[in-house]
Amino acid sequence: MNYPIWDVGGLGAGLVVAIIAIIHVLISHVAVGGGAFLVVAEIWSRRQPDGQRVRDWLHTFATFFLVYTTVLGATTGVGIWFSVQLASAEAISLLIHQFVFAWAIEWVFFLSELTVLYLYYYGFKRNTPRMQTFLAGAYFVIAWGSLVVINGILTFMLTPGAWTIENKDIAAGFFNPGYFPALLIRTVTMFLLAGLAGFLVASRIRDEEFKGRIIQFCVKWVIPGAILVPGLGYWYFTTLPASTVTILAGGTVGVVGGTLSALTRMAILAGVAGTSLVLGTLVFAAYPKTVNTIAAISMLLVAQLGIMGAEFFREMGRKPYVIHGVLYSNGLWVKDAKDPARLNGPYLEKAKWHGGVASGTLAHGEQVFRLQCASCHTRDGYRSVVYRTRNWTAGFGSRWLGTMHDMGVMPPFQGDALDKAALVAYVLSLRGETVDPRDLLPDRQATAQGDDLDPDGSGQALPGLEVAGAEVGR
Amino acid sequence: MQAREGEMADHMHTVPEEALKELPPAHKALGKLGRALLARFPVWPIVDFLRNKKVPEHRHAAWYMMGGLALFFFAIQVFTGILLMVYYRPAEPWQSVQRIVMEVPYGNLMRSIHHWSANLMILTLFLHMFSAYFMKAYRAPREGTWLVGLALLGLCMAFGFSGYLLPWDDLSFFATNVGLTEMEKAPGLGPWLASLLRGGPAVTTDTIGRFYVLHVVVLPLAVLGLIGMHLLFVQIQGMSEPDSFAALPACQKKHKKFFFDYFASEIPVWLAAFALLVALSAIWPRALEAEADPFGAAPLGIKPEWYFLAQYQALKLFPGKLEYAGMALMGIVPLLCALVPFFDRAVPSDRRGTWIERAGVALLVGFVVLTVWGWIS
Amino acid sequence: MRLALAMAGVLAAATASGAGLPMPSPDPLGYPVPPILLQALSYFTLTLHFLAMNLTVGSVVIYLWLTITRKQYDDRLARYLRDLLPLSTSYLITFGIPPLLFVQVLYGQMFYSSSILLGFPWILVIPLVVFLYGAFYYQKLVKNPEHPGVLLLSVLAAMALLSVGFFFVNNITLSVSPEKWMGLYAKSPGGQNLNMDDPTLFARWLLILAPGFTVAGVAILFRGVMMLKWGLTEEGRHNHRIAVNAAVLGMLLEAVAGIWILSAMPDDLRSHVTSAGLAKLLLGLGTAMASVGLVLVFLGRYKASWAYPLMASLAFFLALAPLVALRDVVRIEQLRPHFSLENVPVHAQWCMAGLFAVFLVAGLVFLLALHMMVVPKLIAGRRAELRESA
Repeated sequence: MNYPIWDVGGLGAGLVVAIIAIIHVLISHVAVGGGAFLVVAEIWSRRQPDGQRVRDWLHTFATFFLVYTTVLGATTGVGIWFSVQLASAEAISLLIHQFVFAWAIEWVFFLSELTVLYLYYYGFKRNTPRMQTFLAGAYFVIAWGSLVVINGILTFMLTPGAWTIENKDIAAGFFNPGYFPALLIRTVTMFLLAGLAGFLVASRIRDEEFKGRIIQFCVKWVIPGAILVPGLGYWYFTTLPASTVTILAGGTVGVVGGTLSALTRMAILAGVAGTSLVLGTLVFAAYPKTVNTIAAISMLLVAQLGIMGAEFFREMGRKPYVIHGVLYSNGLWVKDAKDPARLNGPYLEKAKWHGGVASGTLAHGEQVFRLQCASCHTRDGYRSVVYRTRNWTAGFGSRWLGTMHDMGVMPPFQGDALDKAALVAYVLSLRGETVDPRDLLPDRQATAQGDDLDPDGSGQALPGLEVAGAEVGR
Repeated sequence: MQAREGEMADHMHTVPEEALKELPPAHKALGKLGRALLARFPVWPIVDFLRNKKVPEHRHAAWYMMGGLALFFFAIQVFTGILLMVYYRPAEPWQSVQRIVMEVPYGNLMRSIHHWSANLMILTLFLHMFSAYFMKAYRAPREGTWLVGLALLGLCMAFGFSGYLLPWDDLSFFATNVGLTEMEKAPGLGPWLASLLRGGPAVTTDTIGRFYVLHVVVLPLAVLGLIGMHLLFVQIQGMSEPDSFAALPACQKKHKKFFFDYFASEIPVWLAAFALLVALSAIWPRALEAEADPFGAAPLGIKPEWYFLAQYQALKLFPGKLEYAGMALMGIVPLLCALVPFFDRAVPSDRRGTWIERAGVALLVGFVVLTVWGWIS
Repeated sequence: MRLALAMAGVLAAATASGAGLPMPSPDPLGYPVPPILLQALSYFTLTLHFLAMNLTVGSVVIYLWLTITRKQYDDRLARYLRDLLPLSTSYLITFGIPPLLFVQVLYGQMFYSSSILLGFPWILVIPLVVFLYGAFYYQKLVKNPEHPGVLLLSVLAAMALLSVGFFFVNNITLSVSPEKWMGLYAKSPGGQNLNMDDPTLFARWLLILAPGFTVAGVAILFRGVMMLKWGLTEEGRHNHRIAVNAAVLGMLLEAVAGIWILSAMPDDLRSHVTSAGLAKLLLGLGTAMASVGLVLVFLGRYKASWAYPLMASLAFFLALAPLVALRDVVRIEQLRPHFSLENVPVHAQWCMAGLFAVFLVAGLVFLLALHMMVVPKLIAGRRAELRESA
């Protein structure tokens, strides 16, 4: 409620973050694993009888690697940051204020990584073999160092561990329970992805015998990761908070019920992606000459789908928080939500950015929607509110808002009965039903279920607006 | 004993030397098994045939994969379809689908995969058709392949239409109703066909029976038969070469052996397709809406599935009496597609060829624009 | 009429007390070190960012100019700039990260609010940067960069670069104008806004872009020195002529932008900049050092000496740094009614700050050592290449 909402139509700000992040995760892991690939390939190429040809290929790989990791990797990394500012300013503000120096250290790694990569690439034909191997090695260590840093901040969001807003214990927050399993998963994944990137670059080689050798070299990078990642995923899972496990094991709420819990789906996706990678790579190993660009891209697509699934379920497991147990997805602090007077009082009085709408109107409802719902839901696009409320009746909505927090995936509603009524009326208006919010107030609703609602809803205008209105009158 | 073996050997075919070379050595278990199987089932001419089949290598070769991909999705459809049939009861459609979704282990997953695979199959079929069109693969002597392919696309859309009703939820009921109402308006066979499909004047559970039989018996048999024909034609006539490739001198033409080289490069694509199916089904499982209430209000924004949207949107462009013109258009476009091979004279510098290309671009653009328009409106 | 009066009344009521402004509260975690340290770090890195940005902007414009006019030696200088562009863009992005980090620590609530209000152009920065960065690599790696299609791509990339600068200026100016926020939010909650009615907007845009010619000029001066040292006198003099012209042009434009921005400022702000002790000092220092830099460029022309371009680089760094600080002084002044740094609590993280200092120093030493080992070889190799082609 501190910040305005970036109200992006049917897409939703969260999806913008996700789209940028999915590209970034793939490329950034290639960027780290590719460093190790360069080191090993440097040494390997010098042991080959036709070393010069291998080195020419390695130069092609390095060009591809340099261009893609800098143009798409570094920029989408900044892009995640930009989009998170728009989607969840409150959360990025907290992370930055807590971890500013971790980020600054990360930046030292970026700067060094970039510079070393340039020295490697531009010196490819002029540096001594030892220097090239050293530079590639330095690049890998530094790039992995940047992963070591950012991993602390990323895992903090889902498992803040012993960190609290009061103790601000940075070590506890950084080396949180999810830190080491996540680091290991990412490390293994990046080797896998480096091998897949190798397939792609190797698929362009015309000489079949030579192509076969390079493919065989890349195969060894893929297989261990494809086998290990699903197992490591289980280890990561055991570090998750209990509430997250409940959400993941309990099936999706609302839209799709049934036997297909998120946990099952996650496991199946991880298994299928891992198995497909192993099988595809075995085919590559058996028939290395047949590897073409489409087949190589297909394998990258499989990896991308696996990553997409992992990120999707990590996000799902964080519901309803953006920082677990600290900050709800819509910017409500858990510490504030614990104060009933603050939580259940009239919302517009506390909220900013409502633009002074008259209370008890549809415009009031729209502001509540924006400030409390729109961080995750769109009106009728991605995570559509219209679809989710398709079975709502006017009376049901207010009651549901009162209890939605108990389901585990929604934050508590902030505001009084009038705020709820305004929101329900607004949501109903989205599907073309006209309801006056005041008619939805419990005292006007001659239903027995209205008893549990906050009876305060006399519908008086907000004090500040009264003053403005008086001035207009004069 | 020995005599008997010798006697048997007389009846058995001799395995040619070339086929033996590919097998593991004779003293190993696999080698023995292979020799024994080959002697009893003389399939090496088929293997040989597939090995000798050549796939042209050129810039547009990626499009050759669409047909195989569609076949892959069809196989998934058969597999998941059979599993769904185990629990589906046409007498209590919605309840049985609800049971699949809520109780049957992995039922929800299988249903979601069936749903997504259907969509991806039709998508790849469209891509297959358009790529064959623009590579002019329909030209003589491949008119038959083209016609059978068009029929297959039509049957698969019928698959989609008939399968959509089976869950008997709000969405499927009203969408089917809209579709059949449109069909009824068509002059001539329209009313008769609609009534035949519905089994009466309105969509009821009787309609389910008809759609069910269509979906699980009639269409699968027809599609399997046509796929067999389609593949047979392709094997007999070989892969079509686009003009740019055919014009190359023989020494510059590069080919790939179908078996196992080309086939091996298709496997990763199928694996990716499978991973995509699972990802889509895991992240966006197919929802089951409330049970259909024929007397209730239609839910807002009822639309047919995306592959009927273009036609649906086109019909909307012809209001009132003009609707017949729209209907006629619906009939004429497939007919023209079917006639294309007989119009194209296969002369490279022919102006007819250019016109066919332009018409194809117009059709493709029109289809995409109408679909997107229908989707957002 | 009544409506207009009513609107004026509401606005007056809202702005008079400041209560109507939706100013977010600062982050509850407070500052991790006293703000002065964060400011210092931000000035240092932002100056580097501006230099890399200026180098990129100037290089791409001069590159296009050289490629289109095509006089003698132009093509070889153009190749130099073409090779430079992806590198300078990398550092432009990388040096942009810390100032953006520190501005979020120091002024987060203002910065986030304005970013969200300009959400659409702000997120557009990312695809634009991907595009221009990719285009710079493409024109470097492609076989015939003079092909009209590639040139068009380069022109588009240059325009994308200028647009990114424009969007940044929009965001920074809007972040210090809280009184406009509600209006823009009402106009387009999807963030399809720009801060177009800011009187200093275009002047600020010119102010940050204009030194581009000067910085690119210094880069060309370096190349000229190299040519002269390698005995390619003709080409070295050609390079130096272009370098001096570009540097002078940049400083002239900068002077115009400076006068423009001072005249466009609200009166009270201008009198603060021109009369308050600190602001006056910074402005004077910046102007003086810029003049020194320009004189050094001028003196260094046609001389085969590294000292002049090196000293000029240092002078321009020292000219830019006070101006960057002045920029912050102006911001603080503009925000005074709504916010002041002293009111935010400090929860010190000295340990982390120390760790960062260690990493920073170690990193810089490491990079410097590597450079000293690798770069001379690269230059020697390039020299051999040039000799072969000459």
